[in-house]
Amino acid sequence: MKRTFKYIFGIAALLVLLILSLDIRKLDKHLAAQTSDTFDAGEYAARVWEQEIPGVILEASEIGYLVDMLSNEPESIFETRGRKLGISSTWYFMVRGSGIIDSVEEEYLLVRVDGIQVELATAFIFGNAIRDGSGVVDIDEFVNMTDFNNVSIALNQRVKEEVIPELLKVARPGMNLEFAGAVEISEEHIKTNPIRVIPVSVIFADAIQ
Amino acid sequence: MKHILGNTAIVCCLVISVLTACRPKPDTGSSGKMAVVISTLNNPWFVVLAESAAERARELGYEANIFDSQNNSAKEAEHFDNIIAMEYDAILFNPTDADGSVLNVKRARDAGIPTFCMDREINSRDAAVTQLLSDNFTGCVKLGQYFVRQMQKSGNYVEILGLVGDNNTWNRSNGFHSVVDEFPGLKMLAQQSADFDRNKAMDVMETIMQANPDIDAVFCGNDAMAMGAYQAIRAAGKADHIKVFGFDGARDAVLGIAEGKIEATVMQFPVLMSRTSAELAHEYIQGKRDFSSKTPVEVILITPENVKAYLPED
Repeated sequence: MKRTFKYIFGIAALLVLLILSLDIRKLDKHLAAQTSDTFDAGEYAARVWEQEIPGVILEASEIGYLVDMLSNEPESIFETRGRKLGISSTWYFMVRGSGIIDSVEEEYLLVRVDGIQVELATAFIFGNAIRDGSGVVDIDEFVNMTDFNNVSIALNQRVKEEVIPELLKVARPGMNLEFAGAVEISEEHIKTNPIRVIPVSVIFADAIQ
Repeated sequence: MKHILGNTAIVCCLVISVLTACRPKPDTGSSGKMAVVISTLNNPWFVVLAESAAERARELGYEANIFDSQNNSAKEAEHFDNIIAMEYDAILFNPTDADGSVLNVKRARDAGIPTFCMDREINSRDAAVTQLLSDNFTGCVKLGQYFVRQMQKSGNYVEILGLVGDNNTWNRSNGFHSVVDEFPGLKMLAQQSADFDRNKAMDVMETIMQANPDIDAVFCGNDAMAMGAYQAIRAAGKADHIKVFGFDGARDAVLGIAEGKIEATVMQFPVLMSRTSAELAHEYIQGKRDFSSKTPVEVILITPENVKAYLPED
């Protein structure tokens, strides 16, 4: 009997030791701890959006020129105006243009710019087109890819909050607008008609006059 | 006679010298040593990563040895001790833990041995010379968009995560959720880790299905887990209903897409990553110092629409 107690006590002590030696955390808390403590992607993106993007828009390629070059001299335009990250065949460009709204679709506005059909995205605003196309976010500044990727999420969020709602509220077929935005092009499947643009700025002609 | 033998010997020597000179040489005639430290060789994907890195290092003229950390950070630290003691020239490294492995890389750096990370990231800007990483986040953003369209923006799904200490796990998960969470009709019923392991994923999926009978899809952090989840789903007789999404571009997952078992995966390029890492290490040894701290490598979404181009040749 005494021996049985000894065994039970011994096993219990071992279990207590084992439990104390483990660091058990909830998965969601571990997830929350994934970004580095000091980095605030929202703040970083706000600075980029407010201080860098206006200058990037001024330097952006005219969309007509980009489409023409992609059709005729893709290698040249990739090298001179395109940006890509690491080892990749996907290029990003910043573009601007003005045109007339042909139709308002579920996920985009179809805008006609001198015979070019532009899909100005109003949904599925994802990926790195703005971060990498702008050329103002340097991967070497980041401790890890999570922080770097969170900048993309935060920049896309600015588009969803500050560009798209106004666009959807005002846009009607037949209206004139000026836009600037980011374009993603695969080297292997160059698609320019229609060409999809994630808008970072849209001004309606009525507001310009 | 002696004279003839002497002449013959001279001619033979000349012929041998010429033949030796004509033999293909390593790129530079380097004679150093590269260590290839891999998180685990218990997964064919990492075997490819390790062997390709070692093969390229040998082609460049180095002696190359592979060290298996067996997903154990203590083992990994031991390997680094040995590599430092044996004065290797460079380390091609696939870490076990984004935070835990930083110290090992710093120890090597302080001993004058440069480290080049492959596929898995460490949370440091300056410990490794550079890190070649699959662009997991972007891959899963693409996968997430495809997922949303396949699900027609509504339904119940579960997520099976990889190793929770690995940044790749979270970059994949974050990329996926950065898309899917915007669609309120898509509800995640469970999120559990299966450590990138096929058998564990099968068990996890079985348990989740018992608690949640109305699952429409599962997103797995790698293809091994996707295949394990598919096995559990098939055993439960739900293969026609539950859509399976993976990541890696593993052979059986690509075949699974062609056969209609798997909806989509994201293909990574381990051979490209490991060979490039060996080449970068070689450039470093030759004197180059200007490296970007991280180099993402693009990944490709594989679906029934494009799977034909990615089917294995045999």
